[in-house]
Formats: sequence, structure tokens, C-alpha cells
Amino acid sequence: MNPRSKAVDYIRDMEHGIIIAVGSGKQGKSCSLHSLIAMCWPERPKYMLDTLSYDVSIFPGYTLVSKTSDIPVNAIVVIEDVNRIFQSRGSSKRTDLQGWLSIISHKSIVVAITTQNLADTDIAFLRSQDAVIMCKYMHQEDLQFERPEFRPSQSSANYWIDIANRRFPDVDRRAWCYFPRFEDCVAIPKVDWWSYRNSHMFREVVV
Amino acid sequence: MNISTDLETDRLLSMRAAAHIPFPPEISLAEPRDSRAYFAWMFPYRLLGLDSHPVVQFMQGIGRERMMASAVSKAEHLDRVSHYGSWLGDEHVSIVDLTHPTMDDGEEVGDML
Repeated sequence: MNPRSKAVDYIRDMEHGIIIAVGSGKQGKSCSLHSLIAMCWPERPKYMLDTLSYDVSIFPGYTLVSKTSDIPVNAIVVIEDVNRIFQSRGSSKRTDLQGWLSIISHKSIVVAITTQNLADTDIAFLRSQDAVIMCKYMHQEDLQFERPEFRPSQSSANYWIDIANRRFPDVDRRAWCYFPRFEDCVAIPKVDWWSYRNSHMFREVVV
Repeated sequence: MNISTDLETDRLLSMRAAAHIPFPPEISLAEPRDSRAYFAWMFPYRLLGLDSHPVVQFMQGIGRERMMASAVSKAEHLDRVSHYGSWLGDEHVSIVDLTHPTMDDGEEVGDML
């Protein structure tokens, strides 16, 4: 019998919403996020939203856009390391993010972001739409600087990822994701095209 | 359940998460002087190895409920109580390995600890 995950089943049925992959660096946030997208929505158009220019061909099926107005209806939009594009607390100074997020439900858009800490993430991503948080492992030092509202669930994530890792030692630790809303700790299979280049996509970018 | 936090509960939570050792209820919930009042009666049963007996477990459950009610009524204790409540919720966490499609359905792992 195929294993079922409450979280993955819910995400598969999401027409619009926000998925937030949070965890310390190199814990598999991007890999799990893209794998989740490939597993849940193989047919929907996929976009990377970024102001930087880089080779997006390493992400098969994705299109790079720099403006939210270029994103069509029913799309999946990935924003890697979101605080580079939308700075923490930036929505208090700029209204474009809130304006866009408030209508993604009309446009049936799913926004998927990665971030290393929710304290570095604009809270507008959590306020306006159905936001599902996907926790990866976060180091204790980073955890101390997490927003207080999310520290307990992130601490639970670390705890259950450790438990799952001990329970399934043959599964890569970085595959485990914890969804606090669903109390679900899930190992997401890595999408077949994922490679070292994908996890270091900004290596050649000059900032 | 609303969860708030402070430095002390963060320290406790981090310690528990790091150690993977569930705190016994008298540490998680009670102040030391309350702990004696609510849990000291357990000692002889523990000594005799009877603390897992269903009747003792039942009595311990009643003691924990009284302890919880007492702790909730103290404002300075609320954070720790809510954390403990969230840990109790953890018993419903399921671990699902989608990388091995032949695995059984997500299993409840409360008994794995």
C-alpha cells in the first residue's frame, strides 16, 4: 500500500496558496520544495521569480520572470531565498507585495518560497492567504533568532526530523520535512533532475 | 492552542529537543513544591516497579489533570503549560517515508519514544 501524507494530500489539492520552506542553509529546502512541486503539480506551469539573472535551464520546465505581472493564471511561482527579493518587513514600506499576494487566490497562483528564517521573511506571506509551512532542520543557534511565534513548531520540527532520521537511517536526513499544521513528518523523494548545480544555483551570480 | 514563549521555556524546549528525553510531568508542569504535593505518592510504586500498572497510571492521570488545572491558574506558569500541551499533541505526529513507496501507511509514533 502506498504511504499517504495528510500534508502532501492537502497541498496537492491547493488551487492557490503559499508554501514556505524554512530551515538552515543546506538542509534541503529547495530540493524538497521543487520535489514537492513536481510530485503535486506535474502539469501546472512553473516560474522562478527573481531579479537576478541566472541559468534557469537547470530547472526543467521552469521559466524565469522578474515581475509579478509576468506570471500567468494557474502558475506555480518559486522564490528562492525570498528575503533577497522581498525584504523582511518590506511590505510596511512597499505595497506591491501585499497587492499581489491578496489576489493570488483570484489568479489560482501558488507561491512557494524558501527562507532560512521566518524572522528574515516578510510577514505578509503569512497573513493574506492559505500558508503552509514546511520546516526543515534548523540549527539551535538559528532557532534562537526565529520569530517567537514559530519557535516552538520549529523546535518540534527538529525533534521529529531527528526521530524520523533514527527510525529510517537509510533515508537522507535532508529529505525529511515537518508540516506543523498537519503534524506530519514526511520524507519527500528527490526529483530526478536535482543536482549539485541546482542546490548552488547562485554560485556564479555577482551580488 | 495558542502558544507563547519566553527564554525559560525556550531553554527547556531546546534542552528537550536536543536530548530527546521527554520530561516527566512533575518537571514539565509543576513547581518543585507542587511536584511533591501531586506526585510524591508515586514514589513507593516506582520503587516496586509498579508505576506502569494501569491503576497507578490512572491515578497518575488524575494527578496530572489536577496539576494542570493548578498550573493553568497561575499566570507565570502558562507558557510552560502550553508548551507541554503542544508536546502532548506531538503524540499524533505521523512519520511518512514517501521515498519508499511500499511502506505501510503513516504510522503513529507515540509508541516509538
